[in-house]
Amino acid sequence: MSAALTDKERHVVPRWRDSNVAGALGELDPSAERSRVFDGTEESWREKRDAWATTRQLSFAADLLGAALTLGKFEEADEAARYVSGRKSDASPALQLVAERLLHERIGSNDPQQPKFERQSLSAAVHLTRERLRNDPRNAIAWTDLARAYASLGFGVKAERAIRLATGISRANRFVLRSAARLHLHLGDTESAHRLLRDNELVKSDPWVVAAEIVAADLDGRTSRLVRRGREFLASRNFGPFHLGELACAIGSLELKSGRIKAAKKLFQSALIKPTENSLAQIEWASQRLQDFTLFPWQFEIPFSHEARARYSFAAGDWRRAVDESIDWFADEPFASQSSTLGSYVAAEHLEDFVLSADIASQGLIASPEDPSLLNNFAFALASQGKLGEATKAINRLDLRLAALSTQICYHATVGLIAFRLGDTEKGRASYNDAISLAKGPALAKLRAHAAVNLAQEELRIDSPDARSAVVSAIEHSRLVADDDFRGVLKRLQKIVVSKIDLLGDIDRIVEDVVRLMTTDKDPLPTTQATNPDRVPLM
Amino acid sequence: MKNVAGELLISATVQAPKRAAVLYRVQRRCSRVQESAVNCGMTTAAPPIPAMLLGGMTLSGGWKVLRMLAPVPGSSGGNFSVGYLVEDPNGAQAFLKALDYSRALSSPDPARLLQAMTESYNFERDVLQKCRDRRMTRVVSAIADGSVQVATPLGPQVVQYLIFEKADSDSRNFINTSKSFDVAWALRSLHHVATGLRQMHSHDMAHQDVKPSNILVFNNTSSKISDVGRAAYKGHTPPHENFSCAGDPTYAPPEVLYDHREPDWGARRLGCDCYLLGSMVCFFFTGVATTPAILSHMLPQHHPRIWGGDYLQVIPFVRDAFDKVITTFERSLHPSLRVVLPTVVRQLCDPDPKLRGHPRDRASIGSAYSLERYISTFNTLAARAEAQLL
Repeated sequence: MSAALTDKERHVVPRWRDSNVAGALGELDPSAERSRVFDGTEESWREKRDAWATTRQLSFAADLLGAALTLGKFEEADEAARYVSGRKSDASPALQLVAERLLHERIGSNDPQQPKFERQSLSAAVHLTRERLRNDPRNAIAWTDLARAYASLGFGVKAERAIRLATGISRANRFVLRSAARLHLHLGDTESAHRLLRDNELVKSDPWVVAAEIVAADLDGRTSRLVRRGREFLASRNFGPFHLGELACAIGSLELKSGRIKAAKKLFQSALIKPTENSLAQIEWASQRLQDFTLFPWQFEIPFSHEARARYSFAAGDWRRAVDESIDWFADEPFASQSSTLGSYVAAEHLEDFVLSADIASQGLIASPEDPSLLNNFAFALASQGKLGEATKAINRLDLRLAALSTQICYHATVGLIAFRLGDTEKGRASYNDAISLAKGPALAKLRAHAAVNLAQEELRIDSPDARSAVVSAIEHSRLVADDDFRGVLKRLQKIVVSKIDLLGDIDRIVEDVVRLMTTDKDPLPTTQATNPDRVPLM
Repeated sequence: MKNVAGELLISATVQAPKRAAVLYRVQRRCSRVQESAVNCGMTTAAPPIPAMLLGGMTLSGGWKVLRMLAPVPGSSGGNFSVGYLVEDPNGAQAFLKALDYSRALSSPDPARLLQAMTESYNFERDVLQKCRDRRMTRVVSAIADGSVQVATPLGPQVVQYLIFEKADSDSRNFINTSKSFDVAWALRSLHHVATGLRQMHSHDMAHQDVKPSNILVFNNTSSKISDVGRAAYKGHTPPHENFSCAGDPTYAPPEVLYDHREPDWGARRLGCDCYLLGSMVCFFFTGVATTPAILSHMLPQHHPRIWGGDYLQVIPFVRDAFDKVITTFERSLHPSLRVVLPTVVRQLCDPDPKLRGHPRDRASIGSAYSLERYISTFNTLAARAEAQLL
C-alpha cells in the first residue's frame, strides 16, 4: 500500500533552487530598492556617445556599451549594441555578451526554464562547479549551488561541508543563508537551521530571512522571537508585497495553528497580492483546512508553482495533473522527498501506473535513500509489477524506527502484499491485519480502510474462500472515509469485485454498498473531471 | 578636471580615415559654442568664453599658442576646458588646457561651482607638480602652469591653464577590432600603465581613474597615464572625497558603485588602482572593462543603481559574475596567454578590495597592493610578444 503525503502541517520552508532559477524568479531581488545616481556622468556619457556616432568603430562602441550597462542607459546605446551584435567575427565573446544583455534586458525575455531532473546533468553540474571553485574558492554562490547538487544526489555530508564553506564566506547574503537553513532542515537538523537564521544580522532588515527564522523556530519546537518584528515589517511600507508574502504566510500559519482563523485568513489574503510559488503552495495547503477560502485556478499561473498545482489537483481528484505537477515539483527541488512521495502515491493508487510510480520513487530515493515513505512506495510499485525480489529488497531497507505511524501501517500492508504475491498467504494476511490493527482511532481510519481494501483485493486475486468476508470487512472499514482520494481506492475494489462474480456469488448487495460508499458524499467519482465544484481542473 | 592631452590637431593635412574625426570636431566645436551661449541665455552672437580667446597669445615661459584644438573622437577631456596646441621657444609642441569657468555661471549655484572648479584645478595642479617633482615618467605630467589675462567685451578676465606633453592618441584607437589587435602593443602598454601606477603608489598617491581614454599613446609605442584630477594622496582629502564615484563609473570597481568605502586607505585607494589596471587588461583583450563585464553576468535587480542593500550582501553575486567573466575572458585569449592573464585579472580585480593584489604580497606587511610582480609579468609577456615568441 502506497504512503500518501501526510503533512498535517506544512511550513513555508525556504525553497532552495539553483541560483540562476532563483534569480529569474525574483527570489534574489533586494527587499529594498533605491535609485542611485553617479556624480558627473553626463559629460562622460555624451563624449562616449558622440565619439561612437562619429567614428563607428568597434572600440568606441565597446566603450559606449560599457557605459550604457553601468549607467542603465539601455535604449540610448541600442544602435551600438546592434552594431556589435552584428559583428560576431570581430567582437569578442565578452563584448557580444554585453551587447546581447543590453538588447535582451530591455526585451525582458529572461524567464526561467523549467529544470529537468537528470542525475547525469546534476553530476555534470557538480563537476563544473568544482572546477569553478578550484579557480576561485571564495565563490559562496558556487558553493551553495554545489551543496544543492550534492544534496540532490544524496551526498548529505558533502552538501553540509559545501554549505558550511558558503556561509563561512558569506553570512550576509540571503540566498546563501536561506539555502543553508534549507539544507539543515532537509537533513533534519532543525536546531542548526534555526540558530543560523536567528543569529544573523539580516533578521534586522530582510523579511525573507525573518520568515525563514519563524518557520525554523516552529519546526524546532520553539517560539520565534521575531514574530513581532515580522508583524512590524508587514505593517510597514518599506517592502513590496512580493517580499512580504512568505512572511505573511509564516505568521499566518502560526495563527492557523493557534486557531485564530480570522487572523490567518487575513494574512493569507495579504500574501496573495503578489505571492511567491512557495506562499501559494502554503495557502493552497491552508485553504484545504479553512472554510470559505478557496484559490482560483488563475492564481496558479505563477511560474514554478508546481507544488501548489499538485496539491490543488490532488484535492480536485485530477490525478494525471497531480502526478505531472509532482514530477515538475521534484525537478525543481530534487533533494526534497515530498514531491516524489505524492507523485509515486498517486501514480500507483489512482493511475495504477506502477512503472511510473516506481520510477518517481526511485528518483526521490537518490536524495533521500532512507525515506520510509519512498521506500514503501517503491516496494509497493515493484511488487505490483511482480518484481518481488526487488520489492523485498526495498522494503527490507525501511527502518521502522524512522517511520511515522502512518508509514508503519503502509509498511505492514506492503509486506502483506509481497507475501501474498510470493504465495505466503498466511504471512500476507497477518501483515495486513497488523496494519489494520495498528491504524486505530478516527485519524487513521482511512489507512485502516485502505489496508482492508488491499487485503480484500489480494484475497479476491487468489480466489480465496475468505475473499467475501474480506470484502465485507473492507466495506465496513470504508464507511467512515469517503473522500476523493479514497474513492479512487474503492473504484479499484469495485472493479475487482465485479470481475469475481463467480467467487462472490450474489454480489449485488456488495456492489451496491461499494457504489453507495463512493457516492455518499456530494462529490462525484474521481475522474479527470472536477469532483469539487470549487476545484475545477487547472488548465 | 579633465585632461585633453590626447587630442589631435585640426590639420589641413588630415588623412582620409580621419575625415570623420574632423567632422566630429567641427560639430563638437559648434555645439559647444552654442551650448555655452544658450547656457548664458544669449544668442550665438554672444561674446566667446574667455578660455577660447587664447589663440595667438604668448604665455609666460615663451609658450606660443598656435591654435585651438577640438577633442578627437574618444578624448575624454574638454568638460570644463578648452584645448590648444602650443609651442615653446625651442619649437617643441605641447598641449594646453585652459580652464573654462564660464560653465559655472550658468549653474544654479555659480559660487559653489566656481569654488569647486577652483579647488579641483588647484588639486590637479598640486598632484601634477608632485608627479613632475618625483620624475614619474609614465604619468603625463604638466610641463608648466599659469594664468593669463584676456580681453573680453565684459572687461579683462583671467584664464588659468596647464601645459602637458602632447600625445598622439588614446588607447582606444589601438584596440579597434580583435582581428587587427596587436598583442605586443597591448602588453607593452599595460606594462607602462602598471609602471605609471607603481610610480604614483610609491609616493603614496593613487590615480583612481585609469580608463582607456586616460591611457595616452606617444609615438604609437609608449603609453602613459593621464588625468590625475581624480587622484588621491595619503593624508590629504581631495575635493572629490565625497563623490559617489570619483572616476568614470564605467570602469570603477564594484565596491565604489555600491557605495562601499573601505576604511583602510590602501584597500580603498590602491585597491581601486589595482582593479582599474586589471580592468584595462580585460578591455585591451576583449573590448569590455571588468565592471560592465561583471554587470553583464548579473541579474538586473542586483545592479548597483537599484540595489538597496549593502555591498557585503551583494558581493557573492558580484563574485559569481566575476568568475564567469574570467571564464569568458580566458576563452578570448590566445592559448599562450590563457594561464597568466586570467590569473592576473583575477588577482587584480577581486571583488573584495582587501583581497586584491598578489597573494604573496598580501601576506607581507606594507606591500599588499604592490604592482611589481605585474610589471614584471607584463614586461616579460610584452618582450616575448615583440619577439614573436608567444
